[in-house]
Amino acid sequence: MFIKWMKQIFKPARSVTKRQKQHQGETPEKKDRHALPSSFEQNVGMLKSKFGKSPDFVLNELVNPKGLTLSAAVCYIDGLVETVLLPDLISAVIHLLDNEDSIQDAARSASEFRSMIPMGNVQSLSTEEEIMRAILAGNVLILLKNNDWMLGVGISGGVRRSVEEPTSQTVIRGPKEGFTEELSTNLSLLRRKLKTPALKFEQHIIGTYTQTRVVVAYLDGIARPEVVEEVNTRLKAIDTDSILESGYIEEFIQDAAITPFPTILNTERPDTLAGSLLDGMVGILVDGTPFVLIAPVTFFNFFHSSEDYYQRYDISTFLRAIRFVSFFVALLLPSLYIAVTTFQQEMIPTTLLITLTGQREGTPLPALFEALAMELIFEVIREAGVRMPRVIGPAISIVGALVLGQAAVQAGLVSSAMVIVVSFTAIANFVIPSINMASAVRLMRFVLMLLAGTFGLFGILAGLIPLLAHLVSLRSFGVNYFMPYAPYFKSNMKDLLLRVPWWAMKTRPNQKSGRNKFRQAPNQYPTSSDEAGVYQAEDKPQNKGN
Amino acid sequence: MSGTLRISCILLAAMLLLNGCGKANELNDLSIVTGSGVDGTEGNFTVTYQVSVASANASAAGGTSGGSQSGVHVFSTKGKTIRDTVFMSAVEHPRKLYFAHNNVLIISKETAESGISSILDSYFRNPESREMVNVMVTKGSARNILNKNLPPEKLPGQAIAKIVETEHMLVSFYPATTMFDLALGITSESKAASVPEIGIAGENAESLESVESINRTSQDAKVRMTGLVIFKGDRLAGRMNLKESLGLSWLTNRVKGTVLSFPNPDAPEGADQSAVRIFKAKVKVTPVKGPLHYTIKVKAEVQGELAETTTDENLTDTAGINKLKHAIEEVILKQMQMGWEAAKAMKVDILGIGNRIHERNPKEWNRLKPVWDEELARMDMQAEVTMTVVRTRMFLDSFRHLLKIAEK
Repeated sequence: MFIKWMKQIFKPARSVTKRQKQHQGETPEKKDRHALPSSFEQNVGMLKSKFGKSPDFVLNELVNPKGLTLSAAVCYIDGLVETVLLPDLISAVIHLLDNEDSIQDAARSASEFRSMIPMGNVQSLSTEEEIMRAILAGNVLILLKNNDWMLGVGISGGVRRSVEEPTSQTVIRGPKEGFTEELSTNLSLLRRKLKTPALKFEQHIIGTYTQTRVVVAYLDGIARPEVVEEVNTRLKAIDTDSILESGYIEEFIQDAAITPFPTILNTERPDTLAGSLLDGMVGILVDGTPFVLIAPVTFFNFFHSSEDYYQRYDISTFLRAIRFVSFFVALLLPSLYIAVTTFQQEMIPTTLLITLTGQREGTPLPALFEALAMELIFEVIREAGVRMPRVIGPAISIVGALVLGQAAVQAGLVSSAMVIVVSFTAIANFVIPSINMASAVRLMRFVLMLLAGTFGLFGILAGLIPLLAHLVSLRSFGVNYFMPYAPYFKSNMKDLLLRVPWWAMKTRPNQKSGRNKFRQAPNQYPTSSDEAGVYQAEDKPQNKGN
Repeated sequence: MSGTLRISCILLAAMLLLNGCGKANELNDLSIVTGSGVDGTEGNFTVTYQVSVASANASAAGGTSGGSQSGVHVFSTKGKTIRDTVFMSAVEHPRKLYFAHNNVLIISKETAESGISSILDSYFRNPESREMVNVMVTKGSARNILNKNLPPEKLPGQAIAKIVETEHMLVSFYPATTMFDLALGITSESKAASVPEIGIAGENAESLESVESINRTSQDAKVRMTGLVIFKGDRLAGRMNLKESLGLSWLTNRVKGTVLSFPNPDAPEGADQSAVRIFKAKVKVTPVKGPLHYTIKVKAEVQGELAETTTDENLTDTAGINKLKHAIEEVILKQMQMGWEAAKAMKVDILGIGNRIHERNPKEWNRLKPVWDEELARMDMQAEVTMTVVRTRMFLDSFRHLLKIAEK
């Protein structure tokens, strides 16, 4: 019932929406393109009318050293271009125009003129839309007399954040660089990891007002072509005002709308993205955010950290086990505590039960409400910790830890066992490497707590079984969410709960990767130095006595 | 608000408000029974409950420090049947009695003599009470045992259960018996079961009823295991002392470990003694049909290690060890004989010989069944013990022997 109601909300509109009607008149760029007039004055007027009195809009008409006007102009938006390169560019243009009078008069083609500008990225622009896009992307426009085209010189620059250590996904061992807000930087970070022409980028421009560049990255031959095609189709279908973060894209293209569980992974780390592409996944990089989307993913990908592959395999396997245990703790511990203490007390060992009864003595709330209240308080503290200014940070932790933890127990408002349960649950939740999976677990925890408080262990099971059924039914771009288990692929078990050594990881995950199934050559088991004969007989320590 | 949304809201509200309407019990609405006892006879039962006092057992901060507060509260109710009596507690106790963690059930001798079938029925019929509870019998009233403290333990019921279990593991004098074992024994063909007896030793037993007893370093009186009680059918048939009971433990293959003293082979007067710690015993009892009557053949394989000795034997040699071995075997044989005599005197088939015959030869059993008591009285026992002294632990020859050598 509830799901039906949710579906009504999320139902895709089939008829032409008001927005589409509105756009039919207003945005003609998709229908007919505005060609430029060939008059210099008209073009200048066009630009001025578009940007009006914006203080960051600069339009300089050029004069030669003798003071004669050249009927040419340089136009850019201040702050979007590299100011260091500007004087060079302008003087080069002036020099060019001043020396060759004929250039202005002769109807030279755009391509001819383009090659004369001493800059790398020069393009000729012949429609109004192209010009707008170019100047807003940080190009310097060069307007010439009596030409129906302009030149756009790509020297975009300005102040940007440099490549820093990712803050949301930290590792002990592994690359310390993270993506930035700048798409070209991000693409270059990826290119540096995957030096192959098989790395393909496909660009989309989404958002009527933001004109955000969205790039689909994949490895040709490793990614499945159907998935790449599907990603491109879904991206093309997006028609919206703005894409300010990859979260917008995620919600538009994910498979299931009504689920707390994410079906698209996001990462701030170039190495994670590179590793995912090598497994046959597709990356979606969005300009303006360091968070890159990765699809298709399975449930288990959300529990893997890139560090798993950099550490020794046995330690990684242990850490993965810890993460899956933490997942169950974060999901189930409070509800199990409620169920066992209010319904199935016989399951608790006698000594523990007697200790628990002692602690619960005098606490006013039933276990369910005690747990709900503590969990809610924790969520508030957590949210406050994210939102508040960094300066106030220590104050929150003091209030959270001392006032709500210790004082509440001493005042007899909550039992100390409950504080332990809630804090362990909270800490276990942070072990899950992916924040959006951790949030889904947080949400489901409350549902299970209510069920546990109503029906005990039976309620927990009645919640877990549909939950599992739901998870198994999910798909991410055609890949089953519980892929190596349902359907079962034995070869994929190597990199799931376990992480086998690299030399044993011969194949890529099924269903995700395309034609190129094999990662590496077989039989790469490391040979010991004895076997390899690294030591010669005379090198070995000899016992000759004295 | 659409219909489905309204229903969802109602469901959510119901979940929040109605939780606990089922069989939910908050921990502070429960009284955990740590020990219970039955006095009186059929139709006139008195049941005693020892419940843990929650606030006294909170180890952490929050509650009052438990030092001056008694860990348990003991009270009794009367009624015609066991269940009726248990529910009478509702008129005087504010919390629901919770029997799932009951550690020990103490039955008074009076009740045991008059029959315990109604107790068994009540235990097996109701899911709240657990068959794994340790059953014990006491000479006086069960209440008198339950209201005694076992310093320094805070929960006497749990302490009694622990004594029974530890005793069974370490010395096996009085085999621990759960409600389930008891029912299994008395419903078998042999119709017999044994239950440890608990009692109070010493003077001034009332002092144990006060919480002050925990603050004293020694007690005038103490609760301890005093013997073994034999049930024949659902009635008490007799009692065994420590030696007889240990003999019975041997014969019923219930020795998990024990320590025996035995006379040194070179000093038969019995003044010099050695000790052996038994850690493994396998006893097989086979009834063998003779021309006139049945004979019980007992074959025991016992393993142990030397725990203490004053012998002059050369323990580095197998011959010396063998001499000790024979001495130990004799002690075990004597104990078995004692247990056998006691069981025979009670005319109770506590060894379960009837079960054996029934298993092997049901027809024969049907013939024997009516005259089983007489048949039992005519039986003889032939025991054979094979002792293996596995090691002498960290020392070889006895210290006394070493001293003698030094004197020379």
